[in-house]
Amino acid sequence: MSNMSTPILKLDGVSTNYQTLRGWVRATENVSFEIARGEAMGLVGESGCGKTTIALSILKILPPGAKIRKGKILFDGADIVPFSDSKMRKEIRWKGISIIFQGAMNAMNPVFKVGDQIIEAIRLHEPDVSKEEALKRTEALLEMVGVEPSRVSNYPHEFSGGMRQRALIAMALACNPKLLIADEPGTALDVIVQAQVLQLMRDLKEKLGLSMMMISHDLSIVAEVCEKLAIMYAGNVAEYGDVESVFKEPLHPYTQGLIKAFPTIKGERQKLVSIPGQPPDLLNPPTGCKFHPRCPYAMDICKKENPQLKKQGPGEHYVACHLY
Amino acid sequence: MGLRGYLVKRLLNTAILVIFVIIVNFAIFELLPGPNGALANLTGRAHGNPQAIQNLQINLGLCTGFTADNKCIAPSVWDKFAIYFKNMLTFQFGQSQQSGNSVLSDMISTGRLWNTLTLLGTATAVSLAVGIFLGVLVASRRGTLFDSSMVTVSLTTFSLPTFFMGLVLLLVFALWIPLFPPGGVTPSSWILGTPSLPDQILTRIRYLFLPALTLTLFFYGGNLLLTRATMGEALTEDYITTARAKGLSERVVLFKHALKNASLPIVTNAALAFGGILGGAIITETIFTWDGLGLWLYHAIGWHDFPVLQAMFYIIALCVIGANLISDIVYGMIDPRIKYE
Amino acid sequence: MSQPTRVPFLLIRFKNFLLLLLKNKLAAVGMVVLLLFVFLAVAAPILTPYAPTGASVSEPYDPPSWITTFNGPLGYSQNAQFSALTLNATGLATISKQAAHSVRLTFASPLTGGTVQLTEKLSYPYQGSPKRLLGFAIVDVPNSIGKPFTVTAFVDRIGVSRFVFWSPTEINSTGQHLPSPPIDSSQSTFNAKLGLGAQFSAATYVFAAQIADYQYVLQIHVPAGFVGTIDVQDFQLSLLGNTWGIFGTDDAGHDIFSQVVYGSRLSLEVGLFATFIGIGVGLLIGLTAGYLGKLVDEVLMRTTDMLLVIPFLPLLIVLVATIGSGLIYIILLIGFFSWMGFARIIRSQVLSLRERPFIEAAKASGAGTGYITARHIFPNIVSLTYVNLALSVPAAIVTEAALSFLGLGDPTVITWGSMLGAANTAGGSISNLAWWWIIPPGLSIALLSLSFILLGYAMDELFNPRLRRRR
Repeated sequence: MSNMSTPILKLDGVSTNYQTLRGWVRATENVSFEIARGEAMGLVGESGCGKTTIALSILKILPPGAKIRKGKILFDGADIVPFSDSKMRKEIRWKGISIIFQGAMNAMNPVFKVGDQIIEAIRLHEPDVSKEEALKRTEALLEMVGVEPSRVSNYPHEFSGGMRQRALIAMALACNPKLLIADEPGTALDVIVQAQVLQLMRDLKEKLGLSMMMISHDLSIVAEVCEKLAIMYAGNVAEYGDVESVFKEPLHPYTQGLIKAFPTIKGERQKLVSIPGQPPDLLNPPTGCKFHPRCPYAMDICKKENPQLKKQGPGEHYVACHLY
Repeated sequence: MGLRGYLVKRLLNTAILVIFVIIVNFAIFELLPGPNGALANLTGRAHGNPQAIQNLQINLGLCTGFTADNKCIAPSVWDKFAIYFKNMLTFQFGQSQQSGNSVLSDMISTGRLWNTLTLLGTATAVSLAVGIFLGVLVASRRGTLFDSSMVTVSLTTFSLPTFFMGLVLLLVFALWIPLFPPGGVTPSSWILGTPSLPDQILTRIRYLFLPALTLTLFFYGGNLLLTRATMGEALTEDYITTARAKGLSERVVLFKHALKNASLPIVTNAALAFGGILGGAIITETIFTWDGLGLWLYHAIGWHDFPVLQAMFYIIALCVIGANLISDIVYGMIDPRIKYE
Repeated sequence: MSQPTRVPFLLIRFKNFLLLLLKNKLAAVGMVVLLLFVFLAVAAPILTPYAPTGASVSEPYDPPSWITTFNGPLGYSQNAQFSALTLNATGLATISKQAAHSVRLTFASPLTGGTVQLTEKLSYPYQGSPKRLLGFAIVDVPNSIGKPFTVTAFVDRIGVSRFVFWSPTEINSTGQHLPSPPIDSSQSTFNAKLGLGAQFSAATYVFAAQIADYQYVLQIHVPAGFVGTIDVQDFQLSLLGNTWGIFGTDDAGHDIFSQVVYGSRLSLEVGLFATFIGIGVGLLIGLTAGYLGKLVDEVLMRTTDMLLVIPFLPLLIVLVATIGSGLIYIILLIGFFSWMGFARIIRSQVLSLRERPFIEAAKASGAGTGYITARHIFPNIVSLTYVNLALSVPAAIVTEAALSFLGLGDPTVITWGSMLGAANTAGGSISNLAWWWIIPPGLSIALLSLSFILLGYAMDELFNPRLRRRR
């Protein structure tokens, strides 16, 4: 089933909804994209646009009340949506797909030693590995991400933010996953440490040939590491394609706005423009294209119909907008 | 400051508390007019020749000496306190007015201390285990019918006073459906001869069941509600998502990763609640005529047996202080961060 | 801003607060339960004619009468009394009724002798026999003529059988006061009079479990030649049933309902007064520590912490045992040892308030300490005080009940706790454990406590919007 040409991950029309007392929240709607082997894809959008929901849907660790209501998630060619929880635990989570959360936050359990948390992951998925062997592997992993191996017996609070982020990366690589999801890596760290973490991720990707999905609200971070880019807005994929074509020729008005909102160092001086308005309330989203209330080019059709992703131009470049 | 420094600080605090309790005890029993000075009772039933009584009074520090006409020269409050302090630290509580024996031997050799520890130990362990276990389950099923019904049930049992709960259990399970004996620690027939060991254990459990259940019903609820609250908080943390993403089973996520974080307030609360459990034990022992320290205290009230009363209060306070020290140590062991505070 | 408008404004605010609070369903339930107990406490003398510590009203351990609705009427009875005194003197004497059960017979002219007969009637309505039969009759002959008077007393199941309690051979006297041996089925000699073995119940024998008409008759055999008066007093026969009232009776035959009703007074008194003291001391110490800070704070809070460690109930037990167990002592002691938690809360609230920007702003604009305390600190603390008030009352109520349960309560009054204690002591032999003596006071303690807890939680939710459930 799995050969080199099947993408490592393919999402096909995934809709994940949250049940609340006031009704269903459409956290993601009809999301489709794919990640080839050894490729890194960036998932970019404002906070609350459904990026993390996508990550949690892929691992099927959604909070209670949330449900994948439609679509397929093909991991290595197999649809994992119908998988049972125990099958997910044994075959997919960490062994197949692992995830790195923000290191600055409480992503590591504060009451267990860092080393023990990594060893736990190794021995969970490879029960044959002895404790000593797991410890050795953990030390090697820490060394690989640039943490002194002697710090295995430290607690997370004894680590700096950057070290914690590195340790999380080491933990994510513990079982040699086929796909790595990085949820806002380096966010909330200071700029230099953040740059170091990104450099590490790039190096590891080269060295280990990792397939990666990088979630961020920061276009520039994604541009540094990824080959592909998906822009999300209010639970929908607005634009999707090669980093280069998206950056050179942003098609969706939202993407255009996002790019204008970031300063470039090399290019000519431009006025920074922020996108007016607020992201919509997903409980009660606008009809049609969810971006239309903020869109400078909004037409009548935009209020009625939600646009589908359409291929645009010669390369891999898709956009969901009635303008094209 | 390392763990050692933390422990030294806690031990120091414990020592201060013990001194404080002795001062309170001294104030209640020696300075208040009521008991006529419990020290005076140390002479107890020392009838006999006047010389022997005088010697005893000097030995006990009631008098520093005697005038020519055999009048006692009373010591100052400070002298009295010094003697009292020494007596308390060496567990010299004098003689019980009920039995005439030394309070310490009445407490230990009659098995009262052991009986109370059995009851308290069982009730504390079961209420912690049940409360925490159910609390974790409830927290992981927040908002379900199971959740709301468990919360209602534990609030109800929590607000029923021990003495009411105990009497109702006695009424239902000893009188109406006589499954359990109505009171006592062991059957009176055991004086004549004890049965085989398995029989003994079973019978003891039957006798222990209702009093232990009474105390447990009162205290599991607090543990359950607290666990539910702290677990609810812990379950929203990022490391729980990490643990789930790692492929850990829900059982491990809940009982290892979340519970260890959530257990800190539970440990603190358990020590604070221990004072309440002791209070409950006095009442429970009275209802089920469980021959422990509580029942003894109850009888001592009726007898105005002040040496016993002060010894009981002192021992109970020591137990609570001890529980607090244990909880501090456990806290230090669970939470790695405490060492640096 | 002017002074006179302040009070009405506060009243309006209080009313609005109350309305807001009662929107919470649980708070409304709590308020209803609380008002019920307040009603019981206020209306106690109207609700029950019996004093809680008064005379017995019926036999000991009578279950409540309403158990017949569950168990059926068969075998159950209530108190009953013979009444409707009639006199048959057949022209021998003139009669004047002195009281309900007392008459005076006047013999104006000498007789040849004869019998006067007093009768009281009862249609016995219960399908169970009474527990005890208790009769009186005092016959006085103030101007005796030296000839013997004899008396017969009996009960007739009309038209069926007769049970003689006094026979002329027994009551035969020339004195001014005729002997009146007790007519009491609990007396050991009573069964013998009826020719009944000691193992049987005379009351059951006489009032066999069936509905029938009975009469209680006193026959006075007057000797010939008598002139003068005969006084018959307290001519009555009471049947003490095997059920009583709303909550039955205790081991001395006291009315449990009265005890519960009057107990609500005491519980509310103890709960509220002890809490007021505790809150007062807590406010004082908390505010002082929080406001003065530094050494004062350190000393006060250290003491507070140490007091918090000392087990509360054992401390109270030894204090009440040494000082005395009057209700006032109990209130004072509970109050003075329950301020610690509240003082800590107030102190931390003051500390955090002092750092808030609006206090800084007030200070910067020249407001004095007194003004700041009154306008800014106090309103923020009032809500905490309300909540703590509501949550401390149940603790005080339960503590008092626990002390009373252990026999340390005020011996001159009967509280819910002392009722449970008495029920427990009486239940030393397990078969004496009476549910109707345990459930009403126990449930009352629980319900009254719960009402305060519900109100307290509702207020907490109202004052701390963070806790409000998202809807």
